[in-house]
Amino acid sequence: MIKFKLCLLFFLFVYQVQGQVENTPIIKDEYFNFVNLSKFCEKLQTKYGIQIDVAKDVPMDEKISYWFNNISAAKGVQLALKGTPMVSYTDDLGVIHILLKSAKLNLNEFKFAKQSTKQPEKKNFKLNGRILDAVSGEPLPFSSVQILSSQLGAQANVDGQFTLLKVPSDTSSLLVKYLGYKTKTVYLTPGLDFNDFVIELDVAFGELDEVVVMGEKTEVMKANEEIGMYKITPRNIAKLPNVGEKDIFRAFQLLPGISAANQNSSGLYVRGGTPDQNLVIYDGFTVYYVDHLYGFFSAFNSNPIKDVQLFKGGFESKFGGRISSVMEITSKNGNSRKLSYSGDLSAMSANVMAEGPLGKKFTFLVAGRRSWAGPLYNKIADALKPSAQSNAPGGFGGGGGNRRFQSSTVASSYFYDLNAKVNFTPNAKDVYAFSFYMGNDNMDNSQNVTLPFGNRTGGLSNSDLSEWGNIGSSLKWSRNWNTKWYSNTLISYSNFHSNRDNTNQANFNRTNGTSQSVRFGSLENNDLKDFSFKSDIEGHVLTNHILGFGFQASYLNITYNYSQNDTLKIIDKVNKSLIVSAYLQDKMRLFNQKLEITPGLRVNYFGGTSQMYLEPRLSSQLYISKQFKLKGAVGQYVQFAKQVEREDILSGSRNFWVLADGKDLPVTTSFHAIFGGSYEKGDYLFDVEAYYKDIQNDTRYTLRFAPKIGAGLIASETFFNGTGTVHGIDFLLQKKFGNMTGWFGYTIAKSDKFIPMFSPNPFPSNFDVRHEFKWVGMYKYKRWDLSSTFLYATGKPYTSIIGGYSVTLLDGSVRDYTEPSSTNGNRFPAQHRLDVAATYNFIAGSLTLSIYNVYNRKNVWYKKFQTVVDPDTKDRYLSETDVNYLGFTPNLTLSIHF
Amino acid sequence: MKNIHLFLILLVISLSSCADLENGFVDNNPKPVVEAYLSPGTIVRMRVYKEIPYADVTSATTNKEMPIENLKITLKGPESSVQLTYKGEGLYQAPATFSIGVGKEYSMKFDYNGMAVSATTVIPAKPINYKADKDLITRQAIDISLGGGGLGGRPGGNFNEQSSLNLTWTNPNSDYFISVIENMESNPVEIVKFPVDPTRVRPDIRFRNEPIQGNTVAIRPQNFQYFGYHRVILFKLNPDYVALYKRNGNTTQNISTPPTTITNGLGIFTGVNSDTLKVRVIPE
Repeated sequence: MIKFKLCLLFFLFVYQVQGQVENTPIIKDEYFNFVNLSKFCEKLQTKYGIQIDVAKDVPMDEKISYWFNNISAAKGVQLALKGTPMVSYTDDLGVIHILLKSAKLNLNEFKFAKQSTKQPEKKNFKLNGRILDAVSGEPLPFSSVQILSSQLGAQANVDGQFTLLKVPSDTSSLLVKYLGYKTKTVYLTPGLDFNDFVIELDVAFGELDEVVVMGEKTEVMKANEEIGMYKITPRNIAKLPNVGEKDIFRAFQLLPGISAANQNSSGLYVRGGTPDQNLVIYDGFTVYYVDHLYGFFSAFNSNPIKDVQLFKGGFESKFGGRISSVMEITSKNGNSRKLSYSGDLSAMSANVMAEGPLGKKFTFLVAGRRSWAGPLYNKIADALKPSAQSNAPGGFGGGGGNRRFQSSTVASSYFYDLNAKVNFTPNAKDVYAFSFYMGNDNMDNSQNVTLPFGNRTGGLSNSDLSEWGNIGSSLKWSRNWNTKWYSNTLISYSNFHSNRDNTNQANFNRTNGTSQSVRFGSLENNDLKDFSFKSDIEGHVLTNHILGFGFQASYLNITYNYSQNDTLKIIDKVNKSLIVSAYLQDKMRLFNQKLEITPGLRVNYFGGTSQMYLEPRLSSQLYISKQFKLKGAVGQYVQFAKQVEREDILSGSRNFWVLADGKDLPVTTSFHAIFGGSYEKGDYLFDVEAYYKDIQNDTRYTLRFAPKIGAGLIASETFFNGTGTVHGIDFLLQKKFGNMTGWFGYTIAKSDKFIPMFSPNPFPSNFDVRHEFKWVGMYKYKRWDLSSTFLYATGKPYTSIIGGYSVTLLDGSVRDYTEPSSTNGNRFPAQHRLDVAATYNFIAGSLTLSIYNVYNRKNVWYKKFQTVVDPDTKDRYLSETDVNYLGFTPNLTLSIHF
Repeated sequence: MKNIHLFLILLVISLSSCADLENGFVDNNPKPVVEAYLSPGTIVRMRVYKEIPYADVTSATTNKEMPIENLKITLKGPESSVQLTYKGEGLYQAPATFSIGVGKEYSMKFDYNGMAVSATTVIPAKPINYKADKDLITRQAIDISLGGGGLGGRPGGNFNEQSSLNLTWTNPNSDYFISVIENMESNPVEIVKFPVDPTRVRPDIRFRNEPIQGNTVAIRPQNFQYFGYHRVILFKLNPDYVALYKRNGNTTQNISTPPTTITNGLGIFTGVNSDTLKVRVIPE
């Protein structure tokens, strides 16, 4: 293994040196015979003007013998050190660095690593640059760069490009940061290209331990950059415990303000909001349904994803169409330096990814993932799938005594997704990207009723097919027009589709003589299409102002229909509408950079109601000192497309999308107010944010009040509107750096709904969790990454029953019924859970053992009520069963990349 | 601005009232559950019992379905009104003289726990042109009582569409129908002879389909479990009965109000009408 490391190290050196030799002069004839290293360096420095940087622990009395014979100094030094315990490396500036072979080094550290000794040539100039991953050349979106002397800084855009407006001189120093990467100090030197200044950052930990300097500072999760914002890079979540898939959404659930109380859902319940109130943008297009396997996993394969930002509230005017929160996901462009492959294999799924350059200006990435019907998949699918009796009495054979003759088989159930991207960078100013995503779930819980004798094919089939997923793509053009203006324009298409076929089929003759195939049971279909165009423009016109404005037009076409027994179309909705939005905002830095304030206004026209909707927003941060800042935000938010949760079916695709119509389904609006502060000292961050959210026109769908027996249901009798309020405080104490990192998160919150039809008084919302405590710890020890997470949450509210009864039907069979009690009037017991994981990293990958719910805590998911008959007394009792979340579940994941 | 004040106030309230655990339902008196099918030519019987209260599922005394005894139940028809007689175990019965007429409206009423419980229904017409395409079905007797290992040779019976028992009737208004097939033999013989096993539960003598709005249904021979004569009953239904087949939900995730037309009560009080055919299943 050590040999392998050395080889790799050597390879890197050769690779780097070959690229750099041009920077050093050619030495025609110089002979060193058994001289001390100190003498060797001194001569090269004095006679040839070569800059040599010798690491501290290098023995200066090491003897060198070498004849420079018409060779570059860099190459010569490299060859001269052969056979010694040292190696050399020449950086961009022609500085030759000598260090011990055994030293852990960061090759990239040498680039711009020395303070310039030259006199400055430029002052107060503009600097345009890009921040890239040092290994793959991948741009690092939203990375930050700061001028050390003035504390002025800038954030890179989605393409990793940034502009620093007023760099004091071309010998200034910059501090460059990106989550999951090592923070780097860059020393400017006169003569560099400041119009396309490329800064490369190294991954903080992970794949190549050899090039990592220990003790470097990096964060696993970044909070506090902007109000209500969290950032996690998918690279880091692989180290966290998982239950089959490393899941971005589940990683965010470990943060305060994002509830993890629904353990079977990867959905983002942000500050009392529902997942549909969270805008999920993937490479610029909206993704409407973001989960796999009944919501257990998020729909996104984390491997092709580069950056994820979550705004818990108070988000800026650039984002619209949702009332709670925003998650912005940026996928990787693909390695621009070499073709590379990677893959993971876990007890849940397999995934592969390929990325690389296509010529000089194109890069590509393609990643695919598919679940496989392993024991873990089956365990989760069995726990979540709709109950088998959901469509009983399923025609002849369903009731009655021949049930024993049935053999039911789950034909196939799986999910898959595909991510692809092609990036085209024709010049330093333009970037074009085509991104494609599709993900699908197929659930087949059909039962085939067959006779166990012989090879007869007789029998009936009961289908229960669910299929849902997304297809989306975007074509993006971003351009750095000049040092002042940057634009990002895209066209996109996004489709969400969900079909459920829970039927029995039979042939049927109508009175008019036509024959027809008729299905008993229910058929459900929801389809959403979103065609969008949007353009965001950013201007650095004035010092201390970043002006942002943009335009967005979306055409939404949503259909939803639900029919029963072919003849009863319960709901059949088709909504089409154009939504046109424009926004303007200005990020200002006032009072000597102490106050950052961003007023903004978003204006929307919604075709469904033919009305204008205004969303004024304001956020600000006040830097009291270097460590301490205060922050606040207020804003108005509207939502036109909403997801309605059905409570009449147990599982499967429980939600459907509809478009507001201004009548039964009014446009939902919310008001956010957030106030908080943060204190950062050394490796620690303490952050607190108090929030208040007021929601108007929140819609719930229920058949609970099914008013007319036997009649079709109409929207006004199944959709009920009300209001909601959420208030709470999120606390975060984070240890950001070091071998031991992690955080404590605590949220105290109250989320109420008031829907007059449900209850005359406000009642706790489904997601009302009073206390939620989370702990995340990650420890790095040599090649091992150990991590553990702990969750404690107050029990969620639920609607219980007043009582139960049963009715004997005409054929003598008995059916159970229950009568609901007050809405969400009860609470489940508190839940808690500990997960642990251990990852062993090796050169070509890692192996992770993860254990979910270590002490097998039985957390209640829901309660089930049934009447049971005592076989002796024939008395009928009401029984109550707790259905629990997943218990102890281990998983092993192997990740390989080459 | 107002909102910010409100926000601050609410914040204070939230901090000072964080331990409030809402207490759920109010356990009022259990509702009465009624079960009555009114059909021409049959004596009206009605079962009335208490909803099992959820108060304490572990209590053996209260967590139990209990009959409601000695109610004064009035049954009113278009011509007359009668009081039902209590027959024990929650069962009430009308006098044999009280007849049920097609298309007529009937209602019942009683007081329970100070509440007037009532319901009304109309008796549907008898199915018209109810016919079966055969009255004899053959099934191969199968004997697995001696181990059952050597099965699978010759397929028994024909399970294609042609051999199905096809029931037809007239249904111009898309009314609801359900068919129930019931073995009539006093000692029915099972088509499949199983090994002797006293713990084995014999197949039900009845089977049915779901309510449909069509005018035909095909019953496959393999649905029959017994040899002998069977009643093939076609019920014409009211929509309130059909609603019973809708899923009501029995978990805290999907509970909804159960379908009923009974005021201040639960269950079913509905008129049905039926026609009956006979079919005989014989060994091949």
